[in-house]
Amino acid sequence: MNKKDFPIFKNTKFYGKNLVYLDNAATTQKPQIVIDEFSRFYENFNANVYRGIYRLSEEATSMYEGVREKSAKFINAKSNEIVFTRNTTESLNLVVYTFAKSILKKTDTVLLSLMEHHSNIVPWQILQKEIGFSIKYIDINKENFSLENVDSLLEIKPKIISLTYISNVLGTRNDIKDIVKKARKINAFVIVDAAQAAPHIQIDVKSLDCDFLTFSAHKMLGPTGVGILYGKEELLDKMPPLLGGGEMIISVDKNKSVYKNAPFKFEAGTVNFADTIVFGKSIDYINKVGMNKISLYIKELSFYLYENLVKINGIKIYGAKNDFGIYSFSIKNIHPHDIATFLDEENIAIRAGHHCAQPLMKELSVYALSRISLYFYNTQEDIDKVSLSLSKISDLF
Amino acid sequence: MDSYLTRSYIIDIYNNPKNYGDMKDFDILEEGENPLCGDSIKIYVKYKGDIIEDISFVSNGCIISKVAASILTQEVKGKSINDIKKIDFSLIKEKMLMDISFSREKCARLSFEILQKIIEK
Repeated sequence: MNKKDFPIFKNTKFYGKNLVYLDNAATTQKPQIVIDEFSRFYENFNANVYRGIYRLSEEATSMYEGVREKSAKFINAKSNEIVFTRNTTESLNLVVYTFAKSILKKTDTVLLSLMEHHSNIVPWQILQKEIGFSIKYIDINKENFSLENVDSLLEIKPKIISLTYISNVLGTRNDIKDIVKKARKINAFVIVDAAQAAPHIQIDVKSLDCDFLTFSAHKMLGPTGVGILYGKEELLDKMPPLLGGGEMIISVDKNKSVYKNAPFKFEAGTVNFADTIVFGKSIDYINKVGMNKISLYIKELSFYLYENLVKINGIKIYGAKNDFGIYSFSIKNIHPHDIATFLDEENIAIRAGHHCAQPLMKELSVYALSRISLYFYNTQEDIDKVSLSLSKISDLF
Repeated sequence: MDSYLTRSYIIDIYNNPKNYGDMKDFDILEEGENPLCGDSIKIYVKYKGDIIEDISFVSNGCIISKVAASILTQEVKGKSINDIKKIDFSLIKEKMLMDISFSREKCARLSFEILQKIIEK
């Protein structure tokens, strides 16, 4: 639905063919209203935020802070609980190097899962080298691809649990609310990677009761270079800053500095105000279409895709039928890169590779997979096209 | 470049590669891989003086890496090290009769790079 709002589908005709874009878990396309906002901002409002004692800067500042409010509302948080970063990766790193670093001891355990993206593994390993805590992984059930031994791992009383909300490879949705409830009983903190969830489901951080939650603007119709970190007010207040510099301070002395309150103490230097302001339009657009409508539409399309995929000769899907249109698969022993190249000749874009989840790939005993991921501008026609092409590829071997 | 013909030409080589298989009586064995996509290739060489008398390869991975290795081994078999040094990678690409995108070039290059190591030994 709403495909006409996205100019790339009118403009891009590689190999003389219409674009079928099925790599939405990597990044989404942008509607005209979002693209136009870049010009509107630069043509009318561009000035560095916070610094100027003049109308233009005040307008830009108010627009930037307006998006903080919109982002907060989008996940039912308060404005001062929203920190802008570059992306989900930076948001997760910020939590690891400030919050986690200040509470973890050598004897502690951090609990992750085998379906985590590298951005929720590598920062922990870097900090682990410094502090020496242990990292444990929740297993994945190979039948339904859900988390398996959560309860037994909670018995070892991890200090922090950091999990993906929706897997970028399997399309599995984890029951974060239930995990947070259990975490409260053992005084563990919960960090949620919502990079794939934010574009697909209504997120309510108050109801989830998680401590931190992260996502990226570019995966929900917004520009690249804008990440969101939600953190509970009382935790953000206690956390030390990660980067020091301009605009994160109240005063600087030769010997010490006084920092601003959260979220400003985490936004040192000139922030990415232009892209963040443009991101405001993406939120407006998604709100206008309606998250419930988006979820329902994608769910229906996701089932349609699944029914089509299972009919392809020699296909193996790594994941259960899901509501989010995220399916990773192999076909016979055809290399995923070959599948992607064949589809590319039809101007069909899918992802092939390890999906930044090498521990998961090892767990599934594969080195790479092909992945289709949908968003709401995709149509049944897109799915018919990719299914036909995949069948043709399968028949070649 | 007819897409369909190119494809059948490529798949034909993929299914029936030349100089494929392990060699028992070799002088040099060199291996290489592209860790990101999982492609790996072994190349065996048997010399007679400075001429590659026999060459074979075994690959595990994508079509492009296997087809490029098949074409490369055909190209160098029976040639002297000096003549092989003059072969440019673009020749192998030309003989593949397919467009190789920037992101796939490393697949096509894998066997070529392994061979460079062999002839420099």
